[in-house]
Amino acid sequence: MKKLFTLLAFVLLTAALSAQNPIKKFIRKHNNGPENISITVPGWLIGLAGEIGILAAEDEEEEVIFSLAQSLGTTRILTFDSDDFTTKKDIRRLFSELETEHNYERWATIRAASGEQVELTVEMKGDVVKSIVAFVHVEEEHKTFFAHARTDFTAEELGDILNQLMKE
Amino acid sequence: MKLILLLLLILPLTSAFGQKLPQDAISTYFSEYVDDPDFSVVYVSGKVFGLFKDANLDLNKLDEEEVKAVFDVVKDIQGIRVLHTEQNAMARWKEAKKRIPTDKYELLFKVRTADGDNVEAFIQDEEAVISELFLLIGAQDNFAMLSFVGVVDLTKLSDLQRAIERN
Repeated sequence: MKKLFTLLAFVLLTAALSAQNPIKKFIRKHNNGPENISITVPGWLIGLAGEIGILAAEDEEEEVIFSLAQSLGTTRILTFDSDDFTTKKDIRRLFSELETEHNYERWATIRAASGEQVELTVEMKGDVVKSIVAFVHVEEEHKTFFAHARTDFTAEELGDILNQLMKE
Repeated sequence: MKLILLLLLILPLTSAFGQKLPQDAISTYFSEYVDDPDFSVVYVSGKVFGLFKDANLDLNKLDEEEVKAVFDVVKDIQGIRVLHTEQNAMARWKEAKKRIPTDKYELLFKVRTADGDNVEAFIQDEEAVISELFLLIGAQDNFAMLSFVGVVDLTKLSDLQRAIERN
């Protein structure tokens, strides 16, 4: 009986871990290539840069942007040549996995007939935005920009920041 | 033991059913063409409008009353979907008319010009509150479908119209 529970726990744990990282898997696959760039910035470093930024900010708008940056956790940025991969299919698969298995919800999809595309999906817990995934595809330059950020702000806080930025 | 195994079998099934959301014909039509390269596509979730509602925006260039009226109208919007193409526009128009059950909507207005351009607006409403505003546009070189899902209060629309007229 004990063995059975251990086995079950192991199977469930490995399944959970493999499902937890579709974003990491996506980045690992798409950062291969001579001109493809992948950067991971830890949250504490962004927080530190935000604090320095606020001190050095010359106007209120910069201060607002740096204070928003302080709410960001670990942030991953990736740019790659779209032609190196079946990019649209891969993005579709990633977003579908996030939205069906990881409680993400689509906030925006914009695609022009010329091929430019912007997608934004967000993970929320209650009123708090916990994670943001965005991607921008520029058809003309064959480039795709992908970003994932852990966050900890409410939609209301984001609204207030937008308000302050609009006042400038 | 049997109970545990049964539970383990049932749990994934219930979560799979829980994730299946009902889709109307327009959503199906939209998801079918969302990846079609001939189409321009826009989808904006109601949450994004919520951000602007919470922002209590102070737009200096616009009249305060007008801004308030706009946000009163869109505050309960759950989503906006737009599909547009210039390819085979008339064929797309005919196909959409055939596939989308427009008889389940109330026709708000219909315009057809001598050139064969068509604009039709439909609503689903309950006691003066629109739950969906749906526009179909079909011309020789343009086909567009716009769907606004959410609560749009007709009385708020008239407030907006009055605010615009005053400026």
